[in-house]
Amino acid sequence: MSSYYLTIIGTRDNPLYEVEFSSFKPNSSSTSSSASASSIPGRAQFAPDVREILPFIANSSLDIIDDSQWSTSNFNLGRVDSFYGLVVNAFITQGNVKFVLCYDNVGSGTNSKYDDNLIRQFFIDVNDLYVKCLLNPFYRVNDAIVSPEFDIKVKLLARKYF
Amino acid sequence: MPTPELIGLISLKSLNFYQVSTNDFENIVPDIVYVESLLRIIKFKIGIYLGGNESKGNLLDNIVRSTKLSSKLNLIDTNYFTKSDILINIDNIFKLQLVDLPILDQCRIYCTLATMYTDLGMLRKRAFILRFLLVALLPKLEQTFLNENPDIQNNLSLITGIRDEVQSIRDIFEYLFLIYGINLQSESSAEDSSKHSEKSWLSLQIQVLRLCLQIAESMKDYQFLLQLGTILLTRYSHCLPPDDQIKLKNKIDSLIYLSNRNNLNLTTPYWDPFLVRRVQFINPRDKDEIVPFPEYDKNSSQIGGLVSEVKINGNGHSNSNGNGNGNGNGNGNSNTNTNTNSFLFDPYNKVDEKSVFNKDKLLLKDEVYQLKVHVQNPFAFEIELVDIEIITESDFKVQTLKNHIRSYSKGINNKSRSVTNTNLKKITSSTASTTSVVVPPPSTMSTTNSASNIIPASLTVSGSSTEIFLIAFKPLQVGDLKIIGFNIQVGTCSPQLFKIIDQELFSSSFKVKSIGINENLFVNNQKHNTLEMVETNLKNGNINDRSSVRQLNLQVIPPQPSLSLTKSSISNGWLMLLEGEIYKFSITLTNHSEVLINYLSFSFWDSCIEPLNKKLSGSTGNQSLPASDIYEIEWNLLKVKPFRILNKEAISEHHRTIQPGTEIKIDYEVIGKRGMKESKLILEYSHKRSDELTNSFIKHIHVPLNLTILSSVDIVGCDIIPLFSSSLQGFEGEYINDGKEENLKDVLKFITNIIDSNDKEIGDYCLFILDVRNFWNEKLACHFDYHISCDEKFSVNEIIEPGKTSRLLIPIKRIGVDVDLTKDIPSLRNKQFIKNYLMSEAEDLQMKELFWLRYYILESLSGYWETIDNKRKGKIELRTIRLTPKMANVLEFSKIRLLTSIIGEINKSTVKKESSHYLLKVDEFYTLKTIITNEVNHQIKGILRHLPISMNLITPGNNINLIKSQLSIDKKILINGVLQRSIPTLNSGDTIEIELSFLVLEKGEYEWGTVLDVLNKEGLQIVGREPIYITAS
Repeated sequence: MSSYYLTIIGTRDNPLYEVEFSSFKPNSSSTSSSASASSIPGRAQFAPDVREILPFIANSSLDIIDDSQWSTSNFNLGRVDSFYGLVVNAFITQGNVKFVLCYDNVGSGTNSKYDDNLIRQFFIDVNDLYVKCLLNPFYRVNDAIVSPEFDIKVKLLARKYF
Repeated sequence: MPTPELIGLISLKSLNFYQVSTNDFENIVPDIVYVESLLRIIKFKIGIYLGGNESKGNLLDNIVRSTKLSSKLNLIDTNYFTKSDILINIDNIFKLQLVDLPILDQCRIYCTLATMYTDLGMLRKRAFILRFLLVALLPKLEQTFLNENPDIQNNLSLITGIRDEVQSIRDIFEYLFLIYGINLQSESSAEDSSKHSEKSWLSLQIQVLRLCLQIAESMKDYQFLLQLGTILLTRYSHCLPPDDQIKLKNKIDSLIYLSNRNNLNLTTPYWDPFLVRRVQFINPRDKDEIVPFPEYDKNSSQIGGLVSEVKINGNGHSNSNGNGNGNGNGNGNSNTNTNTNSFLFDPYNKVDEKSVFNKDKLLLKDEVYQLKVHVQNPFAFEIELVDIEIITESDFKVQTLKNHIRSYSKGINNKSRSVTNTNLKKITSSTASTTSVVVPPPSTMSTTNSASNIIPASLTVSGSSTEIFLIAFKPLQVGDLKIIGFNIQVGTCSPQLFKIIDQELFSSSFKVKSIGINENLFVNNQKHNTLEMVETNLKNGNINDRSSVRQLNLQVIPPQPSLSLTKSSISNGWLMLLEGEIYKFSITLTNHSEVLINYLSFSFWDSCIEPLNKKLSGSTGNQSLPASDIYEIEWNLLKVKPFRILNKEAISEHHRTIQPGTEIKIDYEVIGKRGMKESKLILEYSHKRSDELTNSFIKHIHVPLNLTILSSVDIVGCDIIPLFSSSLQGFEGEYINDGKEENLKDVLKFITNIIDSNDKEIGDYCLFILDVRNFWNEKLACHFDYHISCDEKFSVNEIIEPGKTSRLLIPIKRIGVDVDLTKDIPSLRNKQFIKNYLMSEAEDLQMKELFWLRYYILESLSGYWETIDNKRKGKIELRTIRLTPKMANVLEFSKIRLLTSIIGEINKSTVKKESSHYLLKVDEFYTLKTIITNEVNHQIKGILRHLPISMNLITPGNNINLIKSQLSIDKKILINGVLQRSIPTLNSGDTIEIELSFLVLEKGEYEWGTVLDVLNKEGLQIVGREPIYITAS
């Protein structure tokens, strides 16, 4: 059962939105069944020291995102970075706002292609939500997104895809 | 095969072999070997990549000797290695557990990685790696420092000189600060502030700072620790939970304590540069207590009040304002005559603004004043103000009375809230020592601990709240005092300047899009020192870009005299007066100040002034009052003076100046004016400097007087009737002997005198009747005087019972001989004449006539009353007299006069007269002489008509025809001539005598009237004032 950390980063390296969640699908591997039984579905299970550095990882991956946005015409940049088993996928919007998803790919090493596709879909849907948020006349670019509606919808998407 | 490609292949192979070896526990390659080789390969690849992906001789040379590449080339991802290749290689390193390696190896690896990222232009990655390095170093550092210096005493010596490792770690911190945006100066620049709050990753910044704190603590780098605490509290207090804030504060306090004990000279500024939010000046005086002289002059030269001035000193500046306005600022009363130069209003003629003082902000030198200072505390912990000092612009000397600083809101129950003058006086005298505060160098501030310099305990501001403090101060210099801020020491922090905050400045317009980290940040990398910047910003109050600041501008003037009332002969300030009563009293004033008074002027105010002024100012446009009413109001305002100073001369003689400590006695006379409820004696005084008038100020003292005015004698009615020789004849016998009707007797005597005199005509006089009522509950003796001419006077003395009305008769001379009754009604305020078009010409003429007739009557008539025991005495209000057109008709002297008399036909002898009756003999010839005098300024012509009638047969109730026949003079008087005849044209000033001879046939009484119809003036009919009465026997 992997954990995810999604952050939306504005044009000035400022976080607009941060959320942590984990896969809602029951883990197939029997070894971690005892651990997952005690945990609540959807709650991220990063180790405390990892949790601490997640924003740093997201921040440092911006360097690579800045580079790789010029090498592809897709908004989805795919897997851009990794650090100690944490994988970073990124998506860039037309307004140069970045979606960065960090996750630990424990047990899902085999079907990474499948995962990438899911993540791409997830990003596209989050982008829809973000654009809707942007349409709000009271929202300025680079403002933090504090709307609970947005939060719930993102979590619903997470539940749908992961 | 080119070298780069070959090396690429070899590296691929070797890495592959390594992967294989991991499965074999026997032949496993140590991680360090693998990492080292990887690093070397990456280094080589980066070298080639940076060199333009071409294998040149000098490029390889550069890589091997690790010299710097000469110039920056275009980075292209072709040929040998791409950037992503290199990054994948770097990722491989992180697949290993580097944490398990020895610390030295870890450091080397991290440092190498950091340089690689730098080469690739990945600054955030570099920062990330450096943070990792610090995290890895932290436990080791703690150990090292503990082992090296187990006791603190030795340890402290290290801090005095910064060691190399400390410096290098600080450099790393500085780099992190730059990358994570901690260097934004949110406390001093509006742009940085909005970036700070919206456009930065606060959680990252706080984490970095926490790490720094931990490292600094383990290294015992106290100065750095203090600075970190400062930056956290200054820039991130809004993100820190209260517990953390309190912990930080305690940490800083203990550090300062440690430093003070060991003389390390560690200081920290206070963390909130916006401490002082607002400053208010508390003016203990009334707004108008001190008035600058030029302004005062301007006001007092306005007409429309009741100022009578006595100037004590003659030195220069004659102030010719006999009739200034009593209430100072002549509201409503126009200032038409103030601009002597310009006839018309000139909108471009600007008043000189310079001389205008803000009266609210006038301070006296050496007097104690208070400021209300609003102080904020945004932190979770309580702060304590240890020291406060007022900072002024351009070295203006001000003494802050530190032992009188107190909390405003907490001291509400105390008496200290309302600071009275006397209170302040005590303060002044108790603080003997003075401290002069000179700004800007804060070091010059004196720190002598005299009594006034000890701040009373507990000037605290609790967490997340604001507090108001009262700060007492004393200006020690004359001039413009500008308070720019305060030098405040908060808790253990060093004292610093806090400016007065006005408004926060915002800057929200900056570019939305920016790619990558701004390279400019590193251009002058060396000069950046985030932590020191915070400190200097705080210490110097460098906040002008962040918020606008304000100054408190005050005006300090030299000490002014102070005059106060010490004695008054009126008890409790209450007085009961009858209307018109005159009462004398005196007040004594003492100059309590050290300053000489050389100017004193008196004025008065009473409660009647305002309603009248209101009425006057309300009468404009359509609702305007008639000119006569306006005059009446103006007269009441300007001519009725309820107060009079009796010893004016004595004062100006004996007191040219009022010396300090001396007193002055002023005798007053007050007159009970109807409707007056309260009144004030206003004394304006000053120490006038003839050399600098603009720096002289007027102070005033008000002596209030409450009055109850009761009615005394009032004129309830009046009338004017013509006076004939026969008037009042019938009353003669009845009353005259009573002795009661003195008045009637006098009038009869007056009439007789006129009849008897040769040069006076009874027709020139008329009788003025006054109904006088006594409203008071005691007998009042009334006296009226009427000046008939300059040497002739008619007096009436009458005692009126309480509640009774008496009718008084006063013969007065008809008015109009030598005066013009068609003059315009004057304006006592010198207002421009405005023609009232709502009034017809005739009405206007009549109004003027009535006005002037009343005017002359009031001028000649005077009256006063007194009680029988002579205790009370007062004037009778005569202005209640109102004339009607009918009365005016009687009163007005006709310009064309008819005088008739009878003389004997033979030898023109005079005929015998009994009172007003001519005694004629039947069957004798007489001549009726008519004298027509024309005093009009134009010619007249007309017809003279005689109307003799018989009087003796007129009895009421008879047939009308019979009466007519009886009235007829047929067969009773024989006329030698015609009864109607035209008169020749009479020029102005001419007199004509017309004679008519007649013979009385029948005995009896006759009345002979004469009428002149003036032809060239339509409808004008002149009637002889006094008809002739004939008794024929």
